[in-house]
Amino acid sequence: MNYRTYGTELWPFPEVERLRNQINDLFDEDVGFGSTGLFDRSMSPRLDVVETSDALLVACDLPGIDANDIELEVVNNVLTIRGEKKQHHEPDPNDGQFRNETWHGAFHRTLALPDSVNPDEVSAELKNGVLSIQIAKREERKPKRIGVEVK
Amino acid sequence: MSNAVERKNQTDVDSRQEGSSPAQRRQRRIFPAYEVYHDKKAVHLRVEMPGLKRDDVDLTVDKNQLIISGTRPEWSVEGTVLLRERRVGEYYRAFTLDETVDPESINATMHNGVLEVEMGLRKQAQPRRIKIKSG
Repeated sequence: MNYRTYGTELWPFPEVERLRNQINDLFDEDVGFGSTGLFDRSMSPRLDVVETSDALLVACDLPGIDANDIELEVVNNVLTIRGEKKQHHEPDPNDGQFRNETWHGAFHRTLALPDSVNPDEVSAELKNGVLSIQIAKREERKPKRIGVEVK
Repeated sequence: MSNAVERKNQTDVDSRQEGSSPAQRRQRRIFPAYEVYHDKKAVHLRVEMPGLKRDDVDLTVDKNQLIISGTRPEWSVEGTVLLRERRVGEYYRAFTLDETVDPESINATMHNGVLEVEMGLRKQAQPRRIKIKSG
């Protein structure tokens, strides 16, 4: 540890803090996926899920993937997003690959849906590498406002 | 002495900017994943920045530095958040270009949330076939 003197003080803590920040920065590398389990081979893309009053919205980061390579299904109220991220180019042994942090291969993610949604009313859109899924809620499960009459 | 004071101020600024609460960490800089490869004519850089449109990405070349940045805003929907795994904040990545790249011939396109930068190699850096004359 390199102690630096600032003025007359011996103050190691800024150094310690910087070291801590550098270690934290390691986790800021955006790999954009995680493995679903120890022995799973497929990648698991990141999801956001928001429940509004009339729908369940799901957003999933799938950069560089064509809509044709994505499969979406709802079975037994479980939403499954799966597909394949294709390799962008075949590496040519005569040319060079400097560095590759991206991944390719199969991906798979499931999400258990609440029973308030209607699995027949699902729409999905892929835009800027983000898959947005909208699942409508059942009519009878939407919040209702009950008017109170004053007599 | 004044150097040391400056250094202390610098360190204080660093530690102030980098918050460590979960909410602040989610808003911090994102280093997007990238891929670099080259062929005979150009160096190709592909940076994955999901959620960004073409206009959201800033690409600058300053001397030999290629800097890619862009802001990904928070997903603004009214409702109850059930799951939040996607990162938001500032995308940032800087690259150093070497002398084989011609800074005048850099082209970029955005496709499916992936920024594709094509950097032409200088003529001198491209492979050249030399004819052997018979003696």
